[in-house]
Amino acid sequence: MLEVIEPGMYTTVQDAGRRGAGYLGVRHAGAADAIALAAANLLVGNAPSAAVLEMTLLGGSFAVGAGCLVGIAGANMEAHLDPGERPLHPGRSHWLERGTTLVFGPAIDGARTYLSLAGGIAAQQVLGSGSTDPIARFGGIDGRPLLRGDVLAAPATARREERSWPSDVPSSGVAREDGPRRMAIVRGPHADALGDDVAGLLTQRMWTVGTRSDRVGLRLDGESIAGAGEIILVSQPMLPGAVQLPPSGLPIVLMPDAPTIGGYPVPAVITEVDRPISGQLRPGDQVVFAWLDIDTARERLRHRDSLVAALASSW
Amino acid sequence: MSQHAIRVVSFGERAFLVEMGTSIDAEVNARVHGLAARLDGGGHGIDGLERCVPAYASLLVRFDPMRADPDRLQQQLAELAADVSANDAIAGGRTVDIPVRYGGDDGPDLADIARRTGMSGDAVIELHASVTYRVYMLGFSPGFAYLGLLPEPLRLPRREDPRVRVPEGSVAIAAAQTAVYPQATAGGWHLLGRTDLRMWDPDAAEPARLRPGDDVRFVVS
Repeated sequence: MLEVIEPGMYTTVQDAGRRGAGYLGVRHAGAADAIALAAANLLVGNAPSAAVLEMTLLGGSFAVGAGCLVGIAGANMEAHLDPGERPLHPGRSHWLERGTTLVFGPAIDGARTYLSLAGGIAAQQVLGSGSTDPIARFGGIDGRPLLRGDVLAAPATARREERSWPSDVPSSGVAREDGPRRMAIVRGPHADALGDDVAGLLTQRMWTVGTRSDRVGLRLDGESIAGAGEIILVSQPMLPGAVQLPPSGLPIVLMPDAPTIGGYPVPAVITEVDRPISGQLRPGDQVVFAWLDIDTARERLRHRDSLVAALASSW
Repeated sequence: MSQHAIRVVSFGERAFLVEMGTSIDAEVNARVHGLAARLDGGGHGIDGLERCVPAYASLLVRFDPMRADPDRLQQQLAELAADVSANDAIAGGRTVDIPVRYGGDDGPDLADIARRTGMSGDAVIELHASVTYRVYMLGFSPGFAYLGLLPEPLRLPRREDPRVRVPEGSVAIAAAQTAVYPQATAGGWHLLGRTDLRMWDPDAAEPARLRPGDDVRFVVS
């Protein structure tokens, strides 16, 4: 059991999000870095999609009210137990004794850090998910970001062992090296209508993550792509991962809290395997896109899912 | 009218977008919901489909690539879409009456709408309440139903300065559409009035009061 001392900059309860509720106008929500969600959970013996905390850019601090096993994945927020105590690295689970304090700082290598509790964090379940939807104001803890004094409880579990994530399987979308982040994209529903020039410019140009980016959308700055405004659409269904091209010619990558419908053309969709990268981008980060054919993208997804499934069954 | 060419295109690794038209059109929309009803209703022998997301003239079908072969599914969707008729969707449509308190604090934009349309406030109310609207789709926020089509004289572009918070139950218009805000959210539509009818209840078996294909009448209260 953890009690929130400081919530951090923007901390919400998230799981794998709401599937099959888009027809009601309900947004997908869910962890912005799906692989870090799975890693944080598997590290404490949970199902990969159990509810966890997602902290953004600056983490929180938590009083440990009862001994518990926690998992940390995603960006490194230099977590530690009480000042001067051992650092708690991402990609590991850690047993916390009652009476200690778990403190996260600013993210140093990504945007989002995931904190799991063995047994899963108790969250308000709405339409099959405990993810926080701050626009509809449901899910998670009262449908809002965490506040000081909130209590995060998990059902009691048998004591579980600390674990480390294997180094040969990525545990998040955090960059492992310097330089622009590269994300593979597949052709979106309006790639043909927008034409080859737009498709070419999307991958030739370097994009910078704008400061107005959030869980609804990543706004990319750069040299704008002309001609996007000529496509007039009546509103169509949208999905997280869609790269929209509004009349400004500056792409917007839809994130988990994006609306279910939208009116801008979609030349590309970020591949699912690379989508965790989008969840770890910070304002000012540089991005390049690279085209991938849909069959190869599906094969990469199958491979990634089988790696995670193998890990889940081996523990 | 001639039928628009149906297009089934991938939307990421595990979804297809079925385009059945390119405009806001009652017949195209009815076919979209006819296809949605068929896909959600089962009996088509396709495994691994999530409940689909219909919009004005297109529909999103998310599938499990472990259970459905994408190439085969794409072909099946094209065939089902070509086969569906506008009559498929009408069967389940209900008529829902929504009582509205027009104007005053409940409809702060009524006077402005009257001024901009050159009508009296009473004439605006009468015209808005005179039409039976069709639910074209849900979107924007949970249970937010896009209703159409608004009578021509009432069609105004969205507000230049969207409100940060529109009260729950506000009845609003923009372009060719009208709607009830199911929750207090930001919004750029013009506010005509307000209803006490609850449009969204996440704990109910059917969380949204309105569903596509329903007919809606606004009643002066």
